Amino acid sequence: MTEISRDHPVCTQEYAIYTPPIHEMCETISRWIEQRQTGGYIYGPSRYGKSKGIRSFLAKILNEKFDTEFPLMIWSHPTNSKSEREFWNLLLMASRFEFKNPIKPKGKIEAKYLFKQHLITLANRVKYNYIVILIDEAQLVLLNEWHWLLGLQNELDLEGYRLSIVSVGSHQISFQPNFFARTGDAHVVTRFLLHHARFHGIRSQNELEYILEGYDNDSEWPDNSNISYTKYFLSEAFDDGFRLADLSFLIWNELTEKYNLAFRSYKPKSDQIEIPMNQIANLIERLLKEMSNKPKSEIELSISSEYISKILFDQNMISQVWTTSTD
Amino acid sequence: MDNFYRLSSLISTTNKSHFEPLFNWRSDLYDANDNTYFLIAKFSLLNKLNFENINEFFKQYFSFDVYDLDVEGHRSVKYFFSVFSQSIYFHNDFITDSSTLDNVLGLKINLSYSHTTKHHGKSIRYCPECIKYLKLPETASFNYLDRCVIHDTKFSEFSCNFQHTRLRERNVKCYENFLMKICPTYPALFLTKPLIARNNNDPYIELGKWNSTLDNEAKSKLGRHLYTFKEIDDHGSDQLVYTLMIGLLTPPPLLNNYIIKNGKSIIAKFSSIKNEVGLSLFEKYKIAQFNAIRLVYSSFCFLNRRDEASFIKSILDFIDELNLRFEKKTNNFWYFNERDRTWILSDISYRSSSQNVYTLLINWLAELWLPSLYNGSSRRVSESYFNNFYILNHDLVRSGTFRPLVDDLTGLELSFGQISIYGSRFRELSTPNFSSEQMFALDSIFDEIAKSYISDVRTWIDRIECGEKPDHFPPKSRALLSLQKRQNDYCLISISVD
Repeated sequence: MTEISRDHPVCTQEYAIYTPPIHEMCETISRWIEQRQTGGYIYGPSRYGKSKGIRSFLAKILNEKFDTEFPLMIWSHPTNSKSEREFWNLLLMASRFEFKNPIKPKGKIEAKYLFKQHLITLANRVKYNYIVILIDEAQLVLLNEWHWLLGLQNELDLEGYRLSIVSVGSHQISFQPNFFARTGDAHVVTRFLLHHARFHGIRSQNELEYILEGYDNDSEWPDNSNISYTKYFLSEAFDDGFRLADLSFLIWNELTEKYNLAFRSYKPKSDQIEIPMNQIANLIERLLKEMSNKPKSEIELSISSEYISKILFDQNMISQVWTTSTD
Repeated sequence: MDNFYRLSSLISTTNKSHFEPLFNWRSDLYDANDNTYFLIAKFSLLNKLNFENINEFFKQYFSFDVYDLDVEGHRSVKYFFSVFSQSIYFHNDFITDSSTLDNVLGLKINLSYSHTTKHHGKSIRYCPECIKYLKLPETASFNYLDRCVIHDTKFSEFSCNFQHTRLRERNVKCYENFLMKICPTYPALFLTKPLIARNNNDPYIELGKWNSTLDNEAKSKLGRHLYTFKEIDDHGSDQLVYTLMIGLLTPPPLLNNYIIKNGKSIIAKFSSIKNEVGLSLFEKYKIAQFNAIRLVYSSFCFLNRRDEASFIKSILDFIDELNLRFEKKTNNFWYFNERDRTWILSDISYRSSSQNVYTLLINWLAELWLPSLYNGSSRRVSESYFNNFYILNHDLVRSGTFRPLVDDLTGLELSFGQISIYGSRFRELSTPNFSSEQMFALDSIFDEIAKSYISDVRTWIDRIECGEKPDHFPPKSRALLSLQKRQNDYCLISISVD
């Protein structure tokens, strides 16, 4: 019996599976880049896998698509910055700039200068004049911060570089354009928030199957070992032909049932169903851990609709679905 | 370039076509022919770094001090920037230490890259056209050039106030200050069009070739320096040194437009001495013997070969000429007071407290060439002079090229008592062991040297007689006489600047 390493990404939850919604989001962002848009935002309920998707796949996809190391900087907005100095220092800290020092933050002007030069460096090294900053948790960005970014965009414009800000956030961000437009800051909207797209949950059994195939085939640990996550945990069963993708029907049925339970008086149509990615990931993680090293026959006996249902109940799926539906 | 392995490992580990942008930089800012310190200054300003930051950063890659680069350091730093600018590194012909023309005719002409590119003085030379592209060509620090080889524009000078900069930081800080003053909007708003393609720039290529051959050319043309019999005054002046360099090591015609011109021309005279004669004469000579030979040999010739040695005859004739000039003079005699070193103009032909300019010169020539005629201004001065004469004789006896005429000169070491009993009077102490051929060779060398001294004195006294006030003594030397060992012979090279 192989001992399961606690360092496995499934155990540490430090992994990402490529999903159809991530693919859709990356395609949207690529399209905006191709159109040289100055900004746009992607919104979707929390825990749907936006952040993981961005961090794990966006850079790779853009690099492949544009056949270069695309000048992209991803910044997860931590909290509202109290001053412009703090704002630029936070951005500088998020960059790979070697001479940043969290103990001794730079002055406002210096931090802004260094950050601007860093963006130019990003663009210049691949002979581009276009840079993208992707702000995660962008619903937390305040009006002042938008103004500072607008100033930076103007300065870069003067130097011949185009800056695009792509924002990714929960549903609240979609209220901002309306609010800004009505309070005299329509220029912020036209620069950064004019284009938008929704980040969906998992909407069909086919999508679920695609994800489960990710665990079965398109994942690997340790690096270059050619061992997928499923093979690592369910080694014997995997060799005997067991695949998580084969459970897609069973799991999808349980997911939709729980989803519908969240809406007692109203039954959503099948094309309105959106399952949060974290529910699927947590379910698979628990399944892999509980069934680890068991033979195929035992796994097939253990995994039933009741088993899945219990896990989803433990994960409080109904409550999450109901809560995020208000987003 | 032993540090390159660090960069090489960086390249292999990243396994990417582009490096992670760990610091701010733009490939446009790199030019393979930029002054290395200027490259570091650009890097430093773009990343807002102070002295410690810069050194700390480069210490990750290199073991040397980035503020004081040797040739290898220059190459390594340029390679570093070429890598991070995604440019091809090409070996730069200018970065060389081979052009340390040390001891060419006894002069130090340091053209090594690490020496010239340092910030030495209060100013930085730059090309007004290159700087529009944020380039400071390393050729701007070659002081023998007057114009930019790329743009054919005269170099400008930027005066920098380095007083408040620590000595160690000065090389980079002065270039930083220069950059901030000349390009206040740095790094924005500079022209990024490429400079004139270097491949088509013939003077640039010629300069590179010439620069790398200077050392060999100097060796083949001038040989190895053995001894300077007569130095040239103001030889320390850069301008004169570069004039000498350009005059002797002829630059390619294409570079003529770009070379400094100070209106001075060089007259060079080469007197060859047969290899076997030179070898037997100077083989055993070190600096002490070379220092001694003129005075001791001329003393011997004056006493024993007055009619044969033409240089003795020349000096004596010139002394006669000086006496005659003095006789003819009726008024306005210049006197020199040795004690307080002042000049006095007097109507009378004799003042006991000072020496008139003619007597002064005759005594000086005797001091240099004819010790038996030397008469010091005091007993103490004479004693010191003859004690020195004793030591010079001893040096030559020790080399085996002179035979002692007194017993106490035979010992290997001299004691203080031995010297002091010699007193303040002249005595012949040694005689040379030379063959007639060797003497003939020495005669020809000293003939040239004597003529040069006479020429200096004559020019000086002519001016005084024309009414110019003497402001220095002895007369300024206007020629350099150096004994060189060439491949097939020995040679006395006489260089005068007109």
